[in-house]
Amino acid sequence: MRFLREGQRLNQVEKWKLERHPLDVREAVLEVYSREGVEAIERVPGEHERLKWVGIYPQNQGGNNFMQRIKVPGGRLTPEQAQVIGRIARDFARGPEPNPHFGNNFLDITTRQDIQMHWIQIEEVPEIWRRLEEVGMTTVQACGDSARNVLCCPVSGLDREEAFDAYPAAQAITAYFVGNREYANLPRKFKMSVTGCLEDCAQAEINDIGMLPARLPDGTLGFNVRVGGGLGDGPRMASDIDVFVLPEEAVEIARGIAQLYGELGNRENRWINRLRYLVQELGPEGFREELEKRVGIPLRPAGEDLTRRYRGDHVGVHAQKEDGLYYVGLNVPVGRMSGEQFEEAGRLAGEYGRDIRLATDQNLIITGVPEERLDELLAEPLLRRYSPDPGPFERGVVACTGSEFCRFAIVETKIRALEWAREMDRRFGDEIGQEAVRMHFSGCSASCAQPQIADVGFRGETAKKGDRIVEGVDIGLGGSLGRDAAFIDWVEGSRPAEDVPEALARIFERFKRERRGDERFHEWARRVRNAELRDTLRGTSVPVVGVQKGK
Amino acid sequence: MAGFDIRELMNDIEEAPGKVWFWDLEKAVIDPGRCVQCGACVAACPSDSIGIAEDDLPKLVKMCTGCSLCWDFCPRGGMRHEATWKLTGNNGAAAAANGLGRVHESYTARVKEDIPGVQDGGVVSALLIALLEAGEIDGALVARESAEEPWKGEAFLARTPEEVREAAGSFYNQTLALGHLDLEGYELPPNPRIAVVGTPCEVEGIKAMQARPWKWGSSRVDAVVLTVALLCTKSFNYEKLMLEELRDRRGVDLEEVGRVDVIRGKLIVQDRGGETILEEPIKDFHGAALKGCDECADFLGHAADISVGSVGSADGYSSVLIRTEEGLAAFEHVKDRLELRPLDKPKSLYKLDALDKKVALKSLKRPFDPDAPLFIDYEDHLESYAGTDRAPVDHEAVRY
Repeated sequence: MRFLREGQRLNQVEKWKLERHPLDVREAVLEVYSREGVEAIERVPGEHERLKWVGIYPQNQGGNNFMQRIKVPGGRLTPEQAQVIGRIARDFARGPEPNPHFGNNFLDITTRQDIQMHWIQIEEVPEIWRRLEEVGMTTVQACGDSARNVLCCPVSGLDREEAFDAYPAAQAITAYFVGNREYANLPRKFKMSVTGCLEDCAQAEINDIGMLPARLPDGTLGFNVRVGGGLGDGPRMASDIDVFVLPEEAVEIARGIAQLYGELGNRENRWINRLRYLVQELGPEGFREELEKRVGIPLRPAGEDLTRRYRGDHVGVHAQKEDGLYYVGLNVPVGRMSGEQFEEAGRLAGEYGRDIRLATDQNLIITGVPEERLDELLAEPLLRRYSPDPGPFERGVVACTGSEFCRFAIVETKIRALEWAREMDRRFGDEIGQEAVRMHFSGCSASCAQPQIADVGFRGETAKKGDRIVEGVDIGLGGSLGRDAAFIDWVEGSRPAEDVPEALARIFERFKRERRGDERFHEWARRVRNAELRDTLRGTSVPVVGVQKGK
Repeated sequence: MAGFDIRELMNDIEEAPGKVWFWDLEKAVIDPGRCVQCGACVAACPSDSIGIAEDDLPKLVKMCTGCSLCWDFCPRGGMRHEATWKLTGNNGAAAAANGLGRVHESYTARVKEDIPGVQDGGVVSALLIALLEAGEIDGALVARESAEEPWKGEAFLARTPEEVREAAGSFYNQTLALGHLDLEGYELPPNPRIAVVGTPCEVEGIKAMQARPWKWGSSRVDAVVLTVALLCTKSFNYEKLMLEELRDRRGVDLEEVGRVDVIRGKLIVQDRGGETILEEPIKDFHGAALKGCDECADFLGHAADISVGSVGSADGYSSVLIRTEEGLAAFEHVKDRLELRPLDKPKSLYKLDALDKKVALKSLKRPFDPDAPLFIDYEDHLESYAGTDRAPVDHEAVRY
């Protein structure tokens, strides 16, 4: 791949990637590091960076403690694959001390339909890979500056309303990029999403590439292409580049965009070099022009956009396309389960249904359950623990890894988010008037928990309390995807974490009082002026209903 | 288009009140030339996202997580430097007035047994050697001459008396000492005890961080058991002072220089034989000083355990101000190796302190108040500094 951006000096990571291809790290893990230990990794400059290409990150505990991410394209797992993953967590994800809430040997479902587990030691990795590869799974490019897991609507192929099943396109894109050395060195991570559903379940607006269902005037179905979405500390809604592609052209368009990004993306400053910055620089039209030079297909103008709404989750019992079959969405608060429980989910999918699907809200779905077996499945102990009928706050809670393991997170997230959700369910669950209230907690500005698209977003921060620095959060309100997609405003900054439940209670009390008809929380939060919301969070004023959004 | 401002074009999100990122620190402190290169931001960053650039200024090396701590502990940013003086038991108001601040004991001192290369009385070198020999510390973060650039000080952890001797003497550039508190590359016992010898601003940063415990990434703030502040009215930019002013403008061959000193208002450069090759009023070199040093009112190192410098004592002697219990305990180890007497000329200290404060009060664009809270919000800083000659820059400087 040529680097065509003018006048840039390569940053250190770029130099490391050129010194040795990052995909070569797989061999090094198998042949050297797993035998000689972590010291051997330390001896190779840039190797911690390259390890990301096989889905391995160092934990903040350092030493021989790693996070291993497993790619699950489109979030789809066979019962056998799910059981293998569960067993891996059971056998290897063991910390020296149990987490006070989640115990030990757990795994996390991520907002990219991946699986992560912690406390992996480098010498265990070959065996983990062997087990995964045996059932057709990989950790290659789960992380690093390359194509990450391709998102797809978790109920693709099952949804009665969907325009078409986009999973084959997601699979084909995955197959093209995994292990592809030419496209495995992009300026930064590269996130793609594909869906044929009408509910933006693959979150096209916040991915580098979003392919959404569309129809040409002659009835031909395919995708409209959006580019340059993302969150982090530079959130941007994806741009419509006025391109329609057929499902069989999805790989070529993804390849062309990857080539464009690889050639023109910023390889100097890693903090402003995701694809969205390039789209911002070129503009949607300029981007389309550059893309046209690089693809072997004509770029047709966009078709009719078929997306109708944003659904956000698949919790509950839902009828599938096929008569008599149902999928059951289990609520896995903050995405964390024990390996044993995940294995059990795989067993249940095998016994009662067809497969397991992972969703971007960190939940899990068992598909293909015949109507006559539903009650039996619903009576299983696992479904009492991870209910398909949770309270609205537990249903909507999402949290990143947090400071328990992540080297960037400023605060603990998982336990806090779960406790806050449970407390809000106790206090407001029956009165809040919507199925899910989405509270997303990211431990830092990286937005791994997608706080900007939540009803209530938390971003880890430090806070001052008397003479102490304490764990705190910025609080944002009013985000959503879908027809009225908009990011939250960060209404309040640096609130000590221990003050958050009461601040939330004041906000939800006020929402209950002021809600108009079926108004949803994010709609109300956008209607009320930020200054007033801030006062309510702080408990410093008598609420006054604002009439329009104000800064 | 380049630079972090591109983010603001991509959405209309209202940012959280008080949110500060590293690039805000860049705009307010680094880009306007106010950085004093103490390294506090590097030390404070819990994700080790701040490193040291080739221009000897802090730079982002990993993702900024928006934790605000680099701002909070910057003595030209969010840390009210004079509010750190209370941390060592100073009465803020008294320290703000002319005087030495809180001092348990004060001396004019010199080593009994000469240590080659020491700056004045050799007190700091002798103290560190004594502490290392007694097993009281495992290392001392000091400045030593760079192997590549003559007369440029670089941070170095001396772990043996011999290494202390090798590093004897002063340099007049900042080393971003706190940026080296990760102690990386040095073999040390599991829970090392470290002394830090540095400028008052470096000591302020350490004391402030120790008073507000947090997870400092790889920085071993907890390992610092003793701080020694070198009396300081200003530090210099190495390139400007040593290369431009001395080497290029005045023809000084830096390879031949044996000693550089600032004493009685003069910069004195001697060759290896001790002959003076340059003696000139220090004010002639003010253009090479760090602009941010003007805003510092802490010539005397009020936050330190011990303050040491040449002012206030006869030539060849050091003035020693012991400010804390830790300082007293440490000094006990070296007392018998020193000639000690009451301070020769305390009035010289008062006088220079008064002058230093006068410059600081003129340069500072915010109220000077040792009794005020330690942290200054970014918005409050903007309110004080906007429209001044020290205002945050609004251009987007990209140093990556």
